[in-house]
Amino acid sequence: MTRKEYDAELEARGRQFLEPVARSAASLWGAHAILAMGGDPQRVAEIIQARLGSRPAGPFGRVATGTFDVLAAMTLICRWGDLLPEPAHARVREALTRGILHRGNTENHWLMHYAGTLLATERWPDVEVWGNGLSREATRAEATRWILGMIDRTARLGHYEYDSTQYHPCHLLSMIALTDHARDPRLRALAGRMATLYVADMALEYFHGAWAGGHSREGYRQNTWTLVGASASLGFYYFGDAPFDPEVHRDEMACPAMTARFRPPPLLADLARDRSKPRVVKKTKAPRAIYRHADREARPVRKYTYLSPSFALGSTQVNLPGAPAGPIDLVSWDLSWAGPKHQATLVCGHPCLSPGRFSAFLSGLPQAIGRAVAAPKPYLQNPDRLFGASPYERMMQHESALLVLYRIPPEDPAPYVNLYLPKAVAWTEREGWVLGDAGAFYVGLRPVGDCRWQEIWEEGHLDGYLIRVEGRDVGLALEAEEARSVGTFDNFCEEMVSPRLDLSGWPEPGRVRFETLGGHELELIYDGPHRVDGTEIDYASWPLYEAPGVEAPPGAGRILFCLKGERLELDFEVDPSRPMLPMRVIG
Amino acid sequence: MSSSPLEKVWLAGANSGLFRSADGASYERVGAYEFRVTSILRKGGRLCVGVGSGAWEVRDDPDPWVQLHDETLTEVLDLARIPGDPGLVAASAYGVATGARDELGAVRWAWHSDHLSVNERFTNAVAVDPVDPHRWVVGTEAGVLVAEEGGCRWTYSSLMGVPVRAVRHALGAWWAGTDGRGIWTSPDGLSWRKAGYGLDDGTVFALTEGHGRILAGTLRGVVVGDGHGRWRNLGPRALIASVAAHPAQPDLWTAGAAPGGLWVTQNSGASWRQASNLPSTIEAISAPEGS
Repeated sequence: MTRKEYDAELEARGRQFLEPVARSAASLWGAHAILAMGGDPQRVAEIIQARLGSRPAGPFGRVATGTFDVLAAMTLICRWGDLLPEPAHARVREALTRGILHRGNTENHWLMHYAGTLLATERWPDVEVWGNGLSREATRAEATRWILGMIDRTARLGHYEYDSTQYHPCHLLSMIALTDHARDPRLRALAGRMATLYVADMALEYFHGAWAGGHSREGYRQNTWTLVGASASLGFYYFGDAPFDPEVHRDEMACPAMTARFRPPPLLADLARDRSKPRVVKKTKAPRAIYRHADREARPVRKYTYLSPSFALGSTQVNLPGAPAGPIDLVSWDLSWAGPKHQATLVCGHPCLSPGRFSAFLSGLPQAIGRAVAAPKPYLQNPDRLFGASPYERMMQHESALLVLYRIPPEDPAPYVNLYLPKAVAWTEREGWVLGDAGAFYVGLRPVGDCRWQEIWEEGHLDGYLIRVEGRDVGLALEAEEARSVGTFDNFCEEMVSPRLDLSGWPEPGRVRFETLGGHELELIYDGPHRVDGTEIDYASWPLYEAPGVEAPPGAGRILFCLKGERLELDFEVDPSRPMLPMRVIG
Repeated sequence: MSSSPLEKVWLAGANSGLFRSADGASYERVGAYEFRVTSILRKGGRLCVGVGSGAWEVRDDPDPWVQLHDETLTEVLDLARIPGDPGLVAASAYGVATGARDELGAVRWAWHSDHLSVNERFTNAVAVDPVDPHRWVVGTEAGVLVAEEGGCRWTYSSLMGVPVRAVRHALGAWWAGTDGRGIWTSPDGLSWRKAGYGLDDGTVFALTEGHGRILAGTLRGVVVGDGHGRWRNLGPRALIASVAAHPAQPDLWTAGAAPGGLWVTQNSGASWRQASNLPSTIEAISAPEGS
């Protein structure tokens, strides 16, 4: 696809998205749509007055602003400043230069905080003393150090708050804003490359409008959805390949990307839509920041995603340091396909309930943090929970086959695993296998453990079958196959139920073997090696990215994409001898 | 309530800001900063707070607070004073750090515990040796470590294998509050023994000294004792994350619950009443300076 063709696509999809949003926009993000569609700047000024920050009561109240609003407001000023009336400028200037800016505690928080702050220091050079009591120069220097350090770290170790359907847009919008508006040419160039890499991350696992594979954070109660949040809107904008759905493609946070000058190379859209052949995508991501209740550091995250024409199966070696650490909205694996919300995802998880999973990466007192975190978010401690990492989960994947095992210790109050099955598939049970005909493909799964079928429903969030796989040594074997490869569903069922799963080594000594339809043997030893056809998978040797046409040696800071004669190289100019920015945030 | 100078008042660090009180009972907010205040340090007219997202030097209203953290310091759980400018050692979830001004006047932090293991890095409390400001007794998730030569040399104490949530030098000795193993004492910060009895499996979050007695905040209220005899349990049976004693009024103590608000006793713990106008979670208290 040529640049011209791609730009025309972006124009068309951007307009399709922005027009309805502009009519109802009420957020600082959505205000971009109003102005892009030729709306009244006074309406945007009113949104800024109403939405930007809060001022506590009392004689010394000062505007206090969170990280989302800092970035959203600053991008409005940078992108549309010429159109906005003076009171809007004054309000943003007061909030950003004199207000109390909360930095938050996640990687997306800090990135939005520092990106917005950096742009503000450049926009208002006449402000000598900032709202934090420091000089403008000191404030700008701190923001610059963190942004450049974060880019360098990401290029060397992989993205920390990786592939988050909910928060990836925050990262992307920050880098886009810096690309379009920062004054430092080097920072602008590096931010542009990082924005491009973020789009590439989406493209590599783009699947009919959705983002397949594991996610560091998939929001709360959203991992059974097909299309999630602003990442679905951005996927639609950048890659298309899915019908516009006004009920889904309406997240106002996506608007600044659609009105930005930054546009990714067309090669990435081609990459996202190239589903002619099945492919494996491997990614390495930065280790989780677990800062207590652990004897060792977390190790790098390794993702494996298999994209077939009609389904995608993704899994993760989260490499946590052991119980109780378990990032609360991490989603390690799922099988997904094109379909309506709740009806095209299959996933399981252990609902670890220990409050130590909070205090492993939050600094509150372990004795108080369970109630403190879960009181406003009770679903985090719901025994039916389907999201969140479990320290007891181990898995391996080869192409379209997956083995997942759990050893849940006696002290854990949830001796079971929750398995979610969509209702839209007609399920068949045969010899312990649960088999599904999804039309274009078939799936077979064999729970390891006693099962109880239940229903799970929560308005707007969940609607499907919840299979409780009961026991402390439980698990799942799963394989999916394109229908055209195996013929009829009956053929598939016959093949799957033939003795393929060897549980003679489970739970003791802790080994399960699985012969796949493709003739490969998967061997998973709990807390031991993972082997395919007798050869151990050497996760430590994985590069930053590995996929057809993608090269990224570990630690080099260079990623090369080649597709159909086109070439895209992202060089982040890293110096491996330099110390990296320490990771001080959640992700 | 009219505002008194910050050095003359009680200060309480809550999950949503810093609060002051002239009488220890009725509070008002200091500044518009809705940070989670975990620690309060004041001496010689200077007031610094450790907060969930860093550290700040507090200026009285209407002046803005001055940021003391950089892009590496966050999740600060305790502060202690050392010589220099800004003259702070910070205890945080990511370890122990000291600050120095850069050419722009901002504080940049140097980290001294990155080489330690995960639990050894997570620092709940730090106290500076009164005879050697370059020697710090450090309460971590793994136990007590002693940092010498300004953090260049680290030594494991005999109190290891248990999270230590409070460290204090008082009554000529070191005191440590542990998670599940009560209160310990040491002559040098290295060699520890159990202090007192009756709190053997108790969890201690805060320690202070008041007129010859040790006060501690525990999982079930305040305890008081001399470190030799039985610890006496007082007050509401809440998680007490902070305690303070008035320097001039021996029977006036305050205890911060998390949650449960701030409690005041004027009769050495015989009766307690809740302070007003405060959030429900209090993690730090500072008594008025030397009045």
